[in-house]
Parts: sequence; C-alpha cells; structure tokens
Amino acid sequence: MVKIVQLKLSKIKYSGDSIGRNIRVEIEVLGKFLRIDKRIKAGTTAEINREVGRFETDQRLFQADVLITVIERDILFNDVGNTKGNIEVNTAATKPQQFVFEIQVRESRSLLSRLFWGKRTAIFEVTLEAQIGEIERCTPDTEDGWLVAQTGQGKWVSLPAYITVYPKSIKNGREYFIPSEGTNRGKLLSIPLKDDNSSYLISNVEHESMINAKYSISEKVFMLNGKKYKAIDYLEAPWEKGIYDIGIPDYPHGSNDTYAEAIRQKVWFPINFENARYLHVGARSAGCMTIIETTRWMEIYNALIKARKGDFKNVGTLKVID
Amino acid sequence: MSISKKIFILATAMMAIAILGGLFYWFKLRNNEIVNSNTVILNQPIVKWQEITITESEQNIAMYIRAPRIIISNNYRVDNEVNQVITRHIESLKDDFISAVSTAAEDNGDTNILNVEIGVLLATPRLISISFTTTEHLAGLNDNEPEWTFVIFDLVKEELMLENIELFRDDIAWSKAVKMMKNYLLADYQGDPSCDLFFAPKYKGIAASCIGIDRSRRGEHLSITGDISISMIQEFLAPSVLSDIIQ
Repeated sequence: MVKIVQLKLSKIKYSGDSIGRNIRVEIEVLGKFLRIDKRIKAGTTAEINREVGRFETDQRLFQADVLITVIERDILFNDVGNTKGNIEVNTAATKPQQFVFEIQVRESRSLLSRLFWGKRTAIFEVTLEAQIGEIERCTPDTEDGWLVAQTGQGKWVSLPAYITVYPKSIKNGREYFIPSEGTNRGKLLSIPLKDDNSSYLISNVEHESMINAKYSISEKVFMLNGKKYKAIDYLEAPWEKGIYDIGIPDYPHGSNDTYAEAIRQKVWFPINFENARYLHVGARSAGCMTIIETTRWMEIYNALIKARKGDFKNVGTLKVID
Repeated sequence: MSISKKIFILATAMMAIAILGGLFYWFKLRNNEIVNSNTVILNQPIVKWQEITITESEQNIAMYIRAPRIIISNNYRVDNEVNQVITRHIESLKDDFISAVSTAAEDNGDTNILNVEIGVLLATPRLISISFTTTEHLAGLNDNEPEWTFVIFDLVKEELMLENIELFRDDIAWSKAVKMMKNYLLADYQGDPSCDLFFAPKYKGIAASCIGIDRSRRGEHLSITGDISISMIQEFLAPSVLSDIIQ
C-alpha cells in the first residue's frame, strides 16, 4: 500500500562555542528544500516543527539522502558548516521516528579577531522527524461539480470537488478510497481507473483557509472577499443576525438546465441555520440565500469549494448582519 | 377642383393611412415588439410521440427515451422553444447518467440502462407541464428509486417557468404551497430526509417529488413521489392556473 512519509525539521540544539545567534538552517531531501532563519542562543534548543516535505512510497523501508547546511549569518563573514547523511524510515511504524545530524560550524572571522578570540567551533544537532501517514488525494472538479462513486453497499453517491480522500487499494481496475471530510466521510468508496490506468483522483490540491462571508438582510447582498453579490431571501422565513457555518456541499441539487448561464448550479452550500438552509444560485428563495447574479456564481463557487474551516464539515463562516 | 373630387382625395388618403397603419401594427406584432398577452391566443398544443433509443457499445450503455414533440399550429417559434426546453432537459438527464456510468458502474459486461418516460401532465393554450420519470440501472449496483423531475413552459410568456412561482398568486402563496407540499410528501417518511421539492401542475392536482439524501441512512439516495390534490393547494394557485388545472 502506498504511504506518505512526512519529514519535519523538529528541533535545533546549539552547543559548543558561541559563534553568534543568527542561525540559518537549510535542508535538502529528494529535491525538497527547507530554509529556516532563527535567532538561537548557544546552549539552548529551538523547537521548529516545520515540514521539509512529503514523500510517497510503497516500500517498507524509505531511504533518502539528506544534506543539511548550518550558517551563522554575519554582516561580513558567514560561518558555514554542512553534513551529508541518510535516513531510513520504517513505513510500518506508527510512531514518529527521529534522525539526529550533527553539524560543526567553525568561526571564520578576520585574522585580527582570530588573534584575540581564537578559532571557535559551534555544534548544531539538527533533529528530523518522520511520521508515516496515509496518502492523500482529492476529488476532481468535474463538469457539473459532482463525482459519482460506488459504495460498498452497491449504491452510488456524489462527491463535490476537492474532497480529501485516502486511497486504500486498486483492485480489478477500480480504485478504493475513503473520504476524510464531507457527507460521505469514512465510507469506503470506489471509482474506476481511467482508460490509461491513471487515477481520477488528483494530487497537490492546496486547500485554502476558511472563508469569512457576510450577508446583509436589509441590502440583500452577499459579501465575499471584498465583492458584493445581489441575493434574495424570503421575508416569511427571515434570516437572523448571527454567525453560521457554511458547509461542504452535501449532494447534487436541482438540475443542470435551469439556468443556462450558471455553471455548477447543482452545487449548493449548506448553512447551519434552522436545519440547513443553502447558499446557491437561482431566481427565487423559499428561505435559502439565493444568488441572483447567475453569471457570477462561479466566483463564489471557486472561492468556497477549496476553502476549509478545519473541522471536516465546513468551508467557513457566514456573518448575517442587518 | 370640385368638392366631390376633394372629398374623394381626402377619403383615399385616409384609407391609405389606415391601411399603412394596420400594416405597420401587424409587422410590429410579428416582430414581437408589441407585447400584449391578451392578444396572443395560441392553439391547443398537439402532442406527438417519438421513441428514441441510444446505444453506446463502448460503455455498455442503452438509453430508452419516449419523448413528446409539441406542435402549436399557429406559432412555430413557441413550439420550437418548448421542444428545445424538453430536449435540454433530456440532455441533462443523459449527461448525469453517462457521468454516473463512467465513474460508478462496474465493468462486468452488464448493460447500463437509462429509461426516461416523459409524460405531458397538462397542455393548455397557456401552459405545458411535462414530467420526466428517470429510472437508472448501473451495472453491478442496486437500482435507486426512480426520480421524477418536471419542466413547465409558459406559452404566453414564451419561456421556461423558473422555480414555478408563476403558478401561484404571489411569492408568499408560492412559499406556503412549497412547504405544505414538501411536508405532505415527507409526512410518513421514517428517517432524516434532506431533499429538494420538484413539482408541476397536472389535471386536477400537482405532481410532486422530493429528491435528496437520507442522513439517518448514511446519506443514501432518496426519491419520494406523490400527487397533491387540488383541494390542498387551490387557495394558493393563480386563478388562470387554477382554471387550467380544473378544466
């Protein structure tokens, strides 16, 4: 099974002689590069916890060369030391695995200062930490915004775009995966591989931070990222002032042919006010927040569909104001 | 010039003006520049049926569609519009099905079958109400309940009726009727449904469906259909629609 090795720069221990506080650490592993600038005092340890990279592997032992460079930055003379090493990560282990590299940095000041201070050497212990995880992929953004997948119970369900999934296996030309968010979270689902045996699932999707939208009841305007969109609601089912979650789309709504100009019109975003109302494109409202600028729906869709609140359910919040 | 000659010329000029004026009005009407719904009287639509079978051997797909062709003898433009709306809805159903076959169906030699049974629920000189009953069989999967969707065409306005609001007296009547119909359809349903209401007028009632998911059954597909009696919603309907439905 394909797994993911997440490699982090865990901490930097600074011992030996003091050569200065402005420390830069550069780490290169299999083409991934991390540079950290940090003020560290000699005799202390700085916690960093920054990701160097993620690496996919189907091997039980993941091996990689590591090049670490430590620089103490001075205006005139940088002090530099580096080391080359290797990590071997057991991908069957569930606990984090640590790898410690020692880098000596010898001070290289002017001849005059050498006469006064001598030649000093600092020792840096750089700790890398590998954590084994499941590989992540995302659902693609299809023509109508929904990917239809098969459940283990012989039914079919629809997934919106950019849902994070964990691929589990490939069997008989089908790829099995478990969504980690949204309505179908935790279900084992499957879709076939494409004709060229590649996956429908996509990689390298960067979810964006949660959106903070607003809706003005009096102006009937939905506000997002500094833009305003004309909307309607329904007087008999008024919105109440407050802050509500905007959810990941749950299932396809309506049909594709109602508004010729509105693409992705079957994708509605649930809002957790009074048993889930929705934000969607349309012409009328029976309580939903309906965007009537149908040609601009894609602006809202694009902003919301990749945003995540971090709770596996929502894309952000909606503040309803007067 | 004699008086009788003057009168003759004047009368001729007036007749010419009247004829030109009439012709001008007629041309304007033809170009749809004068919109007066009271003057547009369309003939009763005639419905002809066509059986369409589409097969696609590569994906083992067979689609069977029984579709109406609406003929409005005195307005070719309107009947063309109506038929285009029907075609668009069929295309949308086909696209949804092909998309589901591509990613959900098993490649086990079994045929993926789409059946679209189209019914004309109401056809008057004012309204055409059409239902689409979609039954899908995806290879290797259990069949979902059939789905019932609708298209309503306003022949007077010559456009697809969006959200069906024009069926009702006003926005409030529409909203109340929508809630009432949804509650009625879901009254006996056990579970936690989340679904969208679709509906269209038929003779002496409303045909309705609610399509969505059941949250209590891990998001399983939900499709409930039913008829709403005229007595339940007649107070909300627009008078012209009511007269069409009960005729």
